[in-house]
Amino acid sequence: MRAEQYLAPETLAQLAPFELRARMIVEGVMSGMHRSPYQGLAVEFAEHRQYAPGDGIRQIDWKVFARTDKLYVKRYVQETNLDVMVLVDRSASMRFGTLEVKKGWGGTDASRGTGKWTKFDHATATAAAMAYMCLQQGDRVGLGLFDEEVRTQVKRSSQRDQWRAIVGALSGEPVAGRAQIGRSIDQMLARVTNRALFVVVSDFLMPVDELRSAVARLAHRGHDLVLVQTLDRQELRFDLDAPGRFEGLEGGEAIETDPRAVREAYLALMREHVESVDRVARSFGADALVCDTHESVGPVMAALLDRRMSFSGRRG
Amino acid sequence: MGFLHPAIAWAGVASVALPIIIHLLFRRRRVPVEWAAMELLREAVRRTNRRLRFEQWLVLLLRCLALLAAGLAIAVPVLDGGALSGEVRRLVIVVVDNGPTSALRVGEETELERMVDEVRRAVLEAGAATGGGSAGGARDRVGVVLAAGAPQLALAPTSDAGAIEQALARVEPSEMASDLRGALAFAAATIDTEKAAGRGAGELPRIVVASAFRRASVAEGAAAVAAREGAQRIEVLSLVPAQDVPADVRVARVDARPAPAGDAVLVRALVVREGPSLEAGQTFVRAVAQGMSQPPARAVMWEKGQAEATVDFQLVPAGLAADARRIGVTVSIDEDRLAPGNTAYTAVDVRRELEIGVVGRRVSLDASDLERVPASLWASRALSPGAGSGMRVRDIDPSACDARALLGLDAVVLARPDLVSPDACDALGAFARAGGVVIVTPAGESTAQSWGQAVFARLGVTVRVSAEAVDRDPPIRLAEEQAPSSMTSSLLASIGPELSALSAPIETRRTVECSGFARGEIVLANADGSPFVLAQAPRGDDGRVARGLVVVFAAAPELAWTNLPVKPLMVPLFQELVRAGIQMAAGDNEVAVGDVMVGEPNAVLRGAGGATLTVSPDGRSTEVVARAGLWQSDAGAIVAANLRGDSLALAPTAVDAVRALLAPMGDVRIREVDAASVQRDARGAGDQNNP
Repeated sequence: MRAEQYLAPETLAQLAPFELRARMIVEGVMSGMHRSPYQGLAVEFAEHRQYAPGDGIRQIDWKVFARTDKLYVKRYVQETNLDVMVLVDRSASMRFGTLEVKKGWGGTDASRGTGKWTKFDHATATAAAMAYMCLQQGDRVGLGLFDEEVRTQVKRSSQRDQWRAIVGALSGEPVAGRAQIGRSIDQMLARVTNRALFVVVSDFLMPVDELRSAVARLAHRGHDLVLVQTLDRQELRFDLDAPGRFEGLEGGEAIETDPRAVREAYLALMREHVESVDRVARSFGADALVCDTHESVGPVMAALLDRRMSFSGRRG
Repeated sequence: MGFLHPAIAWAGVASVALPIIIHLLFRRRRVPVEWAAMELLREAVRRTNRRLRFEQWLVLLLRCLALLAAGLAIAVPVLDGGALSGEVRRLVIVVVDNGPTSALRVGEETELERMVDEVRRAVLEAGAATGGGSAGGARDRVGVVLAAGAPQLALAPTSDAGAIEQALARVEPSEMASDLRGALAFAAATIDTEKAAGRGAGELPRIVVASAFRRASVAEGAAAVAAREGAQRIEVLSLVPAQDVPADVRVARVDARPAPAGDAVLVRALVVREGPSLEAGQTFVRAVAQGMSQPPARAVMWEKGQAEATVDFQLVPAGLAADARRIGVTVSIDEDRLAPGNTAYTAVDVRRELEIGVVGRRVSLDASDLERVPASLWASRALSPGAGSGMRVRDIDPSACDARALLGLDAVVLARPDLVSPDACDALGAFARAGGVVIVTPAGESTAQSWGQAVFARLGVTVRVSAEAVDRDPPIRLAEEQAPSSMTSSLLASIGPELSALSAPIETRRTVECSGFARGEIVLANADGSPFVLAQAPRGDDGRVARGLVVVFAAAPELAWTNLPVKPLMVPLFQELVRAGIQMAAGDNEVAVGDVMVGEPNAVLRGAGGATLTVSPDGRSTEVVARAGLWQSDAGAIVAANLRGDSLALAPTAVDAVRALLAPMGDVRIREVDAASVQRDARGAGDQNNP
């Protein structure tokens, strides 16, 4: 398949006005107790603030003092590359999808057999878009595909052919197994020592406690995190109208039930689960987005970047 | 409780299995669905499972109950008091037993009026009693069937309460015998017809029987109403059978005949009575006839236990028209509780001079040549021995015998059957079938009698004679005691007491052998049982017995055959054969009410109250005789119509017998009434009228 097929031109167009900014830029940019380790190398004036005891004399803007008779210090931020690690869930539950694949959409192993646009397809598209945009800004982007553990990894790089390597890995990956995000995160943390932005694309159909534990470990290591919860519309609406025998994609005992009878309870549980994922993310300063596989990636990405840019602006 | 459509009820019960089967089939046919969020789904199912299972079972149960209820509802559940639902419509056929006994007076009203009142309460005001609506307010359809005579629908099923009320109000006691079994079968057939025609689908069929179930309506040991195989059972609501035995006196029979001599008419009335105790008493009997004197009333002095009495009257002409041919005689008694039966009727021929034709060769003889005197001459002399005999004889030559020659005759003696042409035989046959009397004797001149086949076939009778006469040596005598037969009693009633003495000297030396007759058709029999004289009614082309009479002699009344011509029996025999024969041949002088009248073709007979009866060309009335009385045609024919004796029997029928009678039709319920008051009234009225 061609890698470009994962990122439709209209998606790229929707993303173009935004600039990817990590909420946490690099360590040296942080003012206050976390000064940029790269200050003086590639700095960019950010803002003035009033002088406070402890501030270096060198940082005082004397021109301002001359005009206003007040002491202000200059603040600088380090314009540096962002390390972005995209983690994509490749467990069997991601093989679920109900949207018919249209011509030209391409696809993965998950959609080739069924002709359905699966959650993994959508996750792949999301990851590809994210990687593309990061690489456009010169960030280093890496990829990890996990189920019980990290199965495939593309090391971080800002090379121009990195994107193709990422897309190639995504498109050829089998979709199977049970997701164990805790173990997979631990494996990734062992490999990523510097601070990075982790983007985890998954359906997060896993125990919330396990997710919380994994997110906590990431946060404690100082990484930023975005959780992209990719769910099929059918999972979100559960509007099946015929009794069926539900067989789990990740195994387990099948359930015979009438969807109409359990719909209300299921939707409540799904809503509760999505909110739980959102709460977990927010409790650790991360973001969580819900992505409907029947909708395009662009608006979701735009929303993500908009939120991060505004968040970055507030943090300054 | 039962069901009008038990099969549907069973189907409803069986249909309960349908939702269960569907439920099981759907369980098996669940489509496998691959699903990712299994834990959420499992938890959702776990949370809803108990409620879901309860709901599923509840829905299944409701579906089963709905089908069961629908099936049972369509099957129309029925309680003793009617359908469970007040909305169930009924098809009610009221069978009103309006036979003659329904005219029995019970207090101030007749038994029929009382029954109709009960029917009103049972049908028009049935809502309270049966749990359903009334015919007026609801949509019940009511039809009325009358049991008297041929069962007929007096009112087609309708829900018009006014029409029902009018139909019931119009019902009057009929004089025709009640055919209750036939009426019930007719009512059931009416219900079946309505169902078959698709009218009133789902209606609850009911037959209301308004009858006192007296013996006149339910003969002793009568078979039950025929069961209706495979048909819907009917709810039968019956009034309580009467259990009283009212006293009643009636004129059971009237006979009238002209006196052997003179113009008088002799009338004999048979008066009978029934009741719980036949006490001593008296009953006055009267006889009247137009143009005749009215004798004083005769009193029957009843002795205790006496049930029958005979009263004789002699009516003499008093202003009787000279050309009168027939008069009606009415015998009546005082009015009692049951008016029908208090009067009886008969008709009698009062013609003073009859016209007789004798077909034979003219011969000139001297007084000493008796052996050569032909039968025609002997017959002429016997019929008209002298002036004032009342009979005028017209000689007819065999070659001239045709319809024109027979015009105006009352009887014909065919003494030379061997000489008449086939056309003459046809004319004689038509004459006989038109009500004439034809007396046929063998041809006396020869022993060969080859004429029999052709003549009798054209006369329309089945009797045949041998082609050769047989000589009897020693001569055969007439039986001293004539076996009772209908022909003897009808034709020779006037000389019955003297018949043995008159028959004794009769010897026959030559006879023809007769065949094709019944024992009852022998008028006079020889000692060996062979017929000497027999009589048959001619049959029409359709085989039915019509009017007319053919009398056949086995021996020619000539001295070479028999000594009859010179014995005292000769004159009364021929005269009675002609007189009584004419009475008989004129058709039934009497007819029972409810029967078809046989009479002069195309005649119109008028009865009391302007009622008319038309006789069709085949000699039978187009309708049955509905009323007792004297029916008279413009041509002077009179027919007396009387009630059947068994149509007036008042003996009661046991309730169990009534139930057994009605049971094959469906579920029988005897409507509760104040039977005690009915019987009290009946006893009270009976005491007042007991003779």
